[in-house]
Amino acid sequence: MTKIDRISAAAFILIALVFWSQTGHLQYNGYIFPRLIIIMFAIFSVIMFIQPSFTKEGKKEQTAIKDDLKYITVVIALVLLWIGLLDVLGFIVSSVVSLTILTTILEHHRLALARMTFTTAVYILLLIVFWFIFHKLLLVPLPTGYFI
Amino acid sequence: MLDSIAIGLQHIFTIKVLLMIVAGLFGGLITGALPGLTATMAVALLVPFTFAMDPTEGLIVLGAIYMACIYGGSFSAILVNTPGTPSSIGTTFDGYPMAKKGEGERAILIATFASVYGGIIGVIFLLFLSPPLASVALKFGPPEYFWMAIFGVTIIASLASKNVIKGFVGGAIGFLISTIGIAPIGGDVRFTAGFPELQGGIELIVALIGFFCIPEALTMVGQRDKKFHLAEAGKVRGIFFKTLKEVMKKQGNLFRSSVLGTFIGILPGAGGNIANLVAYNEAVRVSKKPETFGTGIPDGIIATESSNNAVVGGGIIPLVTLGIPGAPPDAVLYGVLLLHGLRPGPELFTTHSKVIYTFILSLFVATILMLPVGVICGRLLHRTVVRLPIRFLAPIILFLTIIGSYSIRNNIMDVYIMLTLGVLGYILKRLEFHPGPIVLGLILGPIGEMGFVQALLMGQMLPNKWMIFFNRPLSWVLIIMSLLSLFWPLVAKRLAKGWKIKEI
Amino acid sequence: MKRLSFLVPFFTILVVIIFSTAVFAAYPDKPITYVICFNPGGESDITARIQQQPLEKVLGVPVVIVYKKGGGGAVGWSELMRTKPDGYTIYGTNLPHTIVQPMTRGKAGYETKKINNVYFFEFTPNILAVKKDSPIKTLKDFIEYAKTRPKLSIGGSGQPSANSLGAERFAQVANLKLTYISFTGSGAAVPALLGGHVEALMTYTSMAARYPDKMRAIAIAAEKRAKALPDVPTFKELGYDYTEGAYRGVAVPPGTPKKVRDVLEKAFEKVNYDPVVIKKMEDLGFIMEYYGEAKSKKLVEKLSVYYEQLLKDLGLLKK
Repeated sequence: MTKIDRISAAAFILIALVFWSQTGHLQYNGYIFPRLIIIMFAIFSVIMFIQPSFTKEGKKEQTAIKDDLKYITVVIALVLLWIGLLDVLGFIVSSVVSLTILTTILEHHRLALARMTFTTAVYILLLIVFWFIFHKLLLVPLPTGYFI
Repeated sequence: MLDSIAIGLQHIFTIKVLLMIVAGLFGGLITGALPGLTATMAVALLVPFTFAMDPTEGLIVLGAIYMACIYGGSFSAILVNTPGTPSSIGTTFDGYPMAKKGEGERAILIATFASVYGGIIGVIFLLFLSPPLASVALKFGPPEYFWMAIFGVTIIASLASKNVIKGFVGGAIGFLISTIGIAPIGGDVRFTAGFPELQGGIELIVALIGFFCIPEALTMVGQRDKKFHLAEAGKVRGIFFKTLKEVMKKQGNLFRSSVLGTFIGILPGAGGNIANLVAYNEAVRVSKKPETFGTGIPDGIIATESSNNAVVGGGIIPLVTLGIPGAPPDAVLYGVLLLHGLRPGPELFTTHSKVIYTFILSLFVATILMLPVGVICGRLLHRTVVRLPIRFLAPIILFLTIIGSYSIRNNIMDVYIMLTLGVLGYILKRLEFHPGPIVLGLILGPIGEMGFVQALLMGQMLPNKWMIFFNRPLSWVLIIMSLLSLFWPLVAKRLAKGWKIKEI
Repeated sequence: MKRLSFLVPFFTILVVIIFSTAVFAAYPDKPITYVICFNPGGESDITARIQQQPLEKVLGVPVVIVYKKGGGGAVGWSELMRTKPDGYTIYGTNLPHTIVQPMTRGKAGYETKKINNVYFFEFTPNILAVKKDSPIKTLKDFIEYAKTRPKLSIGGSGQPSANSLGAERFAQVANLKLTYISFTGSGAAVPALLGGHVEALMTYTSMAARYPDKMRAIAIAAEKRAKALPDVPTFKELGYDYTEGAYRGVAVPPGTPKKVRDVLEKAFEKVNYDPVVIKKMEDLGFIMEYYGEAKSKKLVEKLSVYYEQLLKDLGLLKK
């Protein structure tokens, strides 16, 4: 953990410098607060960097985090795509497609076509109910595209 | 006043009005539970529907929605670690761990009882103590708001008790993010990297969804061996009354948090988002076992949920006496009052006393009715989340986060920001940063900055402009509170050790 | 083959008919979204809500109010640039915001010229206000008081805004040293005055109309006195050439067909003559204006020149 902490502390200090460089063109009233914050940020990051040398934490048993990063990255990419498609395919279509794909990915066992169709049907129903309540009844604007 | 109350009660206890209140409660609960839909939005959405009603009834519905919405935020906080409204940020700290242990229903019941209690206290203050309390609100000027923000910063130490330094780094990150956009004084454009959409800064709700919800959803996705999200507890017989007794024992916490909530609600510009964290902090400070907070104990939920519902009544106090909204949803209520020709102020209590007393009493009734409505909905929701397999739950949660962040400003950019912050939040979570301080920084940033710069401008009237922070009595009250909040834990430990030695 | 070629002209006519009905389909035939670039509960929201039902009656379709706040309206107006110009999404616009924001920010996400204002329906002039229990009763009192102090704190909403630029201009015209303190919205500026944190406010008439028992307006920065505040003299009457205030209007995205713009212009004009609307607006301190599309353009041009000079004098121009 110490190594990771140190790397992140260094990254934070770098970020602080980047932000500072962006304050040059501001008026007094505009830069005074951000600069104070950036200074505090940098100070705390430095402390975070130095701290492990002083605390006798010892090798803390890293609680095994069994998160499967592969799946997480794939899901993030999918969600990114989903958001991008919202304005193109419209809210209901892109959501039904993305939801079905996500559910299928998270499936533990067989990738039966029957299950997929069932999932798609369920989502279509859910989405239509959702759309009806929020868009038609409450008039909350939802992303629209070429379809709906 | 008494006959106005009598007339008001008569008006309320009709089938039509009671049904309207219940409908409003349902609507409010749903919008509250959905992350991304805030109380302000819920109230604003339903304003057109109230045009067709008479002003009193319109206000009654909006009031019910408002109260239930603040309460509803606890559902998603407990079940998926996402504050449904910013007022329930603190509820995630103890509510979610409780749910993970399989005590989700207990957590929801605690939140319900606490919310009802807090709501009632807030309305009682509203009914009986409005005029004197409102004048306190006016005494808070820019220097006081700045010191209040500093006081808020000291809360970070309680939230991140395991690693205080990381807490302060997180807080600084939050403050820094809050400066993105237009500077509140002077209108400079800051840190927008050329994106015009960022002129509006990072919306709090977007950050909440990103920092709290996405990491949980991604964790759900990543844990390939778990089929269900929350452990299912065995059927506990009589859980309703058991939990009720348990909550009612904590009168100290309940009352203190509700009073805090009412007072913070009175201050324009501060609302449930701050109240719940301040109340949580106070509960930690006075507790004999502060280290148990965050593991899933009732006190945490009681503090946050009672204070945030007390804000509802508190925020209306300056609204009806001075015409100054105490919290953002009150601004919408103000608009409704104006549109119907009801001008807030002493006039409201004399010429239109029927309207206002009926409204205040309806809040009372709505809060009490919140108990059955909330328990039914809460239990149902809990059961659904427990029984729904992750492969459905996680995608649906992601769906709700997208819709939630889109609906704030109808801006697809917010959804991208939400996702970015979500990934960042996941990384920070792995690096053992608690999201609480970050979000606290985000909330306090604008308040602190505005107070700071405005006060400096005020200070230009003085020989030394920095003295403005130190020459007002109310400022000193806040300064002392901040010092106490920061150093009390150390002092208490010292004192405890000191007594021990004396005894020997 | 003969049969088929017989059908060709038939289908052509059919297509032409369908196409022309699509083109000549009456606008509007589905709900219109009215975007407010500020918070719900604010003044732009209130004026929109006053107009909402009358508009629905005139246009015959629902009008849905939606909020896109951020950057003092800039986030909404930059989206205006990219919205489909079919007339089903209209945006509330404000002056001087849409003029001064691009001038002071370099990149506001939109250009003043590209905002197609269809109608400006109201004007809220600045007023100079003090607390009701203040010894200052007239503008003369105020100026005398100000001259005895090295600096005077004056609050208002936003910066740059009608309030802030108005305060600067007034200071120029009356030769005073004022320190302007900006607040997020008039709703935050008024408690500052009432609590004694600032000594005066350069705020809007609507605030004076809302708090008549707590604030005293001592002068109004308009050409004529406002109906809601008949006893408040104008700065011009008192010898100071100072008029300033905020205009509220409605705009459509660039490229919207003229037919659509005409329908909207006429609709807003009709609503603006509705006695119910007039009464509600004037009671709240708004002054009715009737700038159609062409007049709006001229107004914007005239004000752009004025603000460019003022901003240059204040050193706030970013070009």
